[in-house]
Amino acid sequence: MMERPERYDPEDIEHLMLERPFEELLAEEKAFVLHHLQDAAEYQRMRALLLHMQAESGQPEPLEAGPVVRERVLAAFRDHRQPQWRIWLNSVGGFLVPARPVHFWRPALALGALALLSITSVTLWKAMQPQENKVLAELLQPKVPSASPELRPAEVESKAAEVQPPQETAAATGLLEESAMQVATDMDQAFDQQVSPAQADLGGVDTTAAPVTDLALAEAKDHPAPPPASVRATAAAGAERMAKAEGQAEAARVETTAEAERHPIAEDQLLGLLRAAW
Amino acid sequence: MGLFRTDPVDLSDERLMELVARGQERAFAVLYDRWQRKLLSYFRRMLWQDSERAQDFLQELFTKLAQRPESYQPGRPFGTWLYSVANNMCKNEYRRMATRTAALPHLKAAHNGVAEPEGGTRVDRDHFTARLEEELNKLDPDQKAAFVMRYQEDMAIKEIAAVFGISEGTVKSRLFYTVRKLAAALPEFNPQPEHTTPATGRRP
Repeated sequence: MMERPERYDPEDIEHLMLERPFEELLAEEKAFVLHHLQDAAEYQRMRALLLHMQAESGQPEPLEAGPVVRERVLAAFRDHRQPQWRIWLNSVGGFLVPARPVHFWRPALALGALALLSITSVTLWKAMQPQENKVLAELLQPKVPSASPELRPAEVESKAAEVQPPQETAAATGLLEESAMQVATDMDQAFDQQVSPAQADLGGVDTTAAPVTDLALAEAKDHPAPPPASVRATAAAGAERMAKAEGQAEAARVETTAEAERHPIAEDQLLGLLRAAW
Repeated sequence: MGLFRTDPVDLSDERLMELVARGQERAFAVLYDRWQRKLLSYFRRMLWQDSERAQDFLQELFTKLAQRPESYQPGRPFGTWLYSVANNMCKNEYRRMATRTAALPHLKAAHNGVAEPEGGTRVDRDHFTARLEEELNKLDPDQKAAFVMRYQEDMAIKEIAAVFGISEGTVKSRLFYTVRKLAAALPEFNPQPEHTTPATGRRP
C-alpha cells in the first residue's frame, strides 16, 4: 500500500519511462501516468523515443572543427586584442637556462643589450650633466630682479645695500675713510718737514718778503727733494692700509651681493611671482 | 594577482574569460579547444546536420567572443552563456531560412529532404536520426533547442534553464510536451528497440 499518493511531479514521468514499461508500473504510478497521458500506448511511444535518444547520446559523433577555423578565430582575437607583456618569475629560469643549447643566444643577447643600454645611459647622463646646470641657471636667472641684465653692477650693489645694509660694509667704509685721512695727515707732515729747513736756511732774510719766500717755495715744489725714509715708510704703510681696507670692502660687497642673490626677494614677493607665473 | 603563471588548461572557464578580457591569447585558445566539439555538435544538430554551416557558426561565435569578451557577464556560468549565444544564433538562422524558404519553396524540401523509411520494424540508427531531424525541424525553435540540449548534448535541466533564463519546472514541462509530440510523430519506432537498456547516467 502506497502511503504517499502525490510523490510524483509531471516531469517525473520521464524517469518512469526510462526505468520501466507501462506493465511494470505500480498501480498508483499507472494512475499518475494516465492522469497526464491518454493511454498506455502513448506511454510506450514516448518511452521508445527516449530510449532511442539515450542509445544515440551514448555514441557521440566524433566531430572536430577544421584547423582553419581555429586559425581564423585566433587571428580575429589577435586583431582585436593587444597582448600584455608580463615577465613571470618561473619563466626567468627557463629563459636564462634554455633547455636546448642552441637557444643560449637569447639570454646572451638580452644581457648584452641590457649592459649596452646601461653604459650608454650612464655616458649620456654624464655628458649632459653640465648642460643641465647651465640650463637650470638660465632658467632661474629671470626670477632674480637684482641679477637682471638691465641693471648695472653698481645698481646691483646699491640695491643689495638697500635690501640689507651690512655692518661689514659700514665698518669697511669707515676704515677706508680713516686710512685716507691718516694718509693725508702724514703727507702734510712730510711736506711741512721738507719746507721748514728751507725757511730756516733763509736766516736773517725777511721771511715776510713775499717774493723771496714765494720763489723759494716755488723752487722747492718744482724740484722737490726726495722725502726722507720715515716719510716713505709712513706713506707705504698708509697705502698698504688703504689697499687692505679696499680689499675688505670689496669682499664685503661681494658677500653682500651673493647674499642678495641667494635671498633676492622676500617670501611674499616670491609667492606673488609664482602666482603670476601660474 | 599571483606571481607565478598557472597553466590555463587547469583554470575554470570563468577564470579563462577574465584572462581573455585582458588579452591573453593562450586562454582564448584553451577555451576554444575546450568547447569547440560540443558547440560544433550542437550547431550541427540545430542546423539540419549541415557540418559546413556548423563550422561557420562555430567560427562566428568565437569571433564574436574575441571581439567582445566583455559581453560575457562574469557571474554567469560560461558554458550556459555560450549555449545561450549559440541558441540565439540558431534562432536567427531559422528566421532567415523561414524567410528564404517562403520565397523559394524548393529549399524547404531540400532542408527537410529525409529519405522515406524502407519499411519493416527494424530500427536503423541513421534512419531514426534522419526522421527525428525532420520532426525536430517542425518544432518551435525553443522546444527543439531544449530537446537537443537535454537528449543530445546531455545537459542538465538546471543548465538548460539557465540558458533560456526560465525555471527548471518550465524546462521539464517543455521537454515533456516535446517528447510527447515527437513520439506521436514517430510511430514507426514503436515498439521500442531491442538494444535499449534501462536508464542510467543521465544528469538530473
